[in-house]
Amino acid sequence: MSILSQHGFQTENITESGLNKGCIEGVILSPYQSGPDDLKEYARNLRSNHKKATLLFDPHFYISTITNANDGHLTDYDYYKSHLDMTCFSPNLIQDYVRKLVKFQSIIDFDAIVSPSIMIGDFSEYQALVTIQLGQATIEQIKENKIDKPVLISLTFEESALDNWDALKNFLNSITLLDVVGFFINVRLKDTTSYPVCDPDSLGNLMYFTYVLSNVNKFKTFFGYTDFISVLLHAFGATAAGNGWSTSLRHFPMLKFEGKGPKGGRQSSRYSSVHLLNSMTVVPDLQSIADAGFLQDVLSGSSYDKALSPNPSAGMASWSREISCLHHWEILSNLARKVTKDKNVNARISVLKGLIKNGLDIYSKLDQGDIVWKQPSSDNRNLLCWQQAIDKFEKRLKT
Amino acid sequence: MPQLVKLGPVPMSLIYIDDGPKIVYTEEWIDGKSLREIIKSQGRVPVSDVLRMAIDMTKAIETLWSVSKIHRDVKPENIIRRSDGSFVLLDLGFALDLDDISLTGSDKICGTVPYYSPEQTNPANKRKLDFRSDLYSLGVVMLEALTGSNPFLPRDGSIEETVRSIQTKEIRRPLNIRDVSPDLETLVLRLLAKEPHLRFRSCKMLLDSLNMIKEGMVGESG
Repeated sequence: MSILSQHGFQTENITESGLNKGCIEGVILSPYQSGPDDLKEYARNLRSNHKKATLLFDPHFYISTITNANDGHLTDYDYYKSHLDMTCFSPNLIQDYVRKLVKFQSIIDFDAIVSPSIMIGDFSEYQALVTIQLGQATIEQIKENKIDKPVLISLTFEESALDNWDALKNFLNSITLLDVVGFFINVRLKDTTSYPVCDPDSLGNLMYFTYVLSNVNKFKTFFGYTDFISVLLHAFGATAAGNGWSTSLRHFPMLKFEGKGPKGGRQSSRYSSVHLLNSMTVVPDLQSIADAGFLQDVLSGSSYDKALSPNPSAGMASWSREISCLHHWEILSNLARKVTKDKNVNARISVLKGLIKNGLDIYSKLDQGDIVWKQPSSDNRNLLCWQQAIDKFEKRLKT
Repeated sequence: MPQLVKLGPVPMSLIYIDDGPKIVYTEEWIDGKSLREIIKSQGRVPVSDVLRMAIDMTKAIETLWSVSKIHRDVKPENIIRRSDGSFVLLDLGFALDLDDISLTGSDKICGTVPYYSPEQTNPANKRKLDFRSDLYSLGVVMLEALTGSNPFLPRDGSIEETVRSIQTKEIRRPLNIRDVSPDLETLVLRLLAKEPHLRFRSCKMLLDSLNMIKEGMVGESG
């Protein structure tokens, strides 16, 4: 159970503070963000300063199949190829990509070797088979070169892939046969504009997916780009979840990789509430909550809170990007600890239901204060979605 | 000289000759009773014997899977208890070599229906089967040995009804079987999961669980 920093634009200092303060336990490094030499240097520094930190590498190979992709520093890497289509995954070519990727990862002190993956739109598609082949080739490469590192199979899929239940079950039947330590998973949500609201059906199936891999089959499962969904994933057995603070590090930023995302711009300062299991803008959201007299119901009880109490807008100046991010990680870590206190999944679900009910009760209270959320995603819909998703998961297990 | 390796509790050997490993089936006279005969005479088999049987069968299934084979007909008739108390898995006639062309027709389902895994009931899955199908059959055998009856055998005994029962009937806790611990109950129910990914991903994981339950029993009685 842990929160990892998602490596992104200018995240190095915040990550360093997060590791020092213990609110994160490692880093998912990104070749999109840094070229090979800088990344090696960064990983070396992280390892020498934080010997116990979990250091993983997300190869971002899934960008290779995007037409006219915005591939950042990826083209500086030997293993990466732009503009790949489905004819570019013959056994020989797969071996070539994997050999180069494994070679790169093996010279850095990462905790595991992560296989390459491509985007899966549906688990019955050819892309799912290619992903498994890339994983198998990685296992073979590690054995052949006698590399003493565990392997994580990378899976990258659309949230909608979770909707094809029969294909999902068949895919699980296949991947649970792989002889590896675990999986590194990125999920692209259907509608990132309403993030973190998910479709309850697909979210229920993501819970099942996580439960099967982590709890039943005892694989380690690492998730990238998660935000508050990390609480759910931890309850269902996830080992660790990557998280940053900017929008593109809180959910899988496919639009950015496709070159269609919004350009830069300063984001509103945000506050994460351990009680609402959600984040909101400091102004106007948190300020209007304070004006309505409900601030204490929403504040997380963190040492950072004093900057925003009793008047959030007055504390805005000291609520820096760094503090906001550290606070967010601290909240997610606390929640992950809370939901994983018991080993038994039923007990975890019961804790989770309690947290959701508490959050919904506070949202009801806030309704009386006529709070208008700046972003729709700050309202109670995500908790209602979680509730439905848990019901869905429980029904799945019964049938 | 070829190197000969005896493959655990299955009557076959692995030999290494010039171009690689070969499987040799051997006939062995086994002095003992089939699990079918034991169930018939005793009704219910003691838990300690069921655990020993399950451990030996898991090792047999593991051995077969190590050479890409599945048995496809794990049932009480094919399990013999030797006079020393150990169990051996017989009748590899239906064993499927996933790396090779099978002797049996591709549109036929082989084995004995009441011990089929849900995935085995669909002939289209034949090439997709793995050792977890045999683990399911082992779960049925364990439950039958513990209770004296196969839970998927319908009253009318028709094949269609049996197949439907295997595909849809859920065995739920509590099983209410005397002397069966909650851990053993959980293990049997897990083997009987309809989906392979809900069973055990390796025979080693199953063996570890079985040995833990066995040690727990020794601890209790000691």
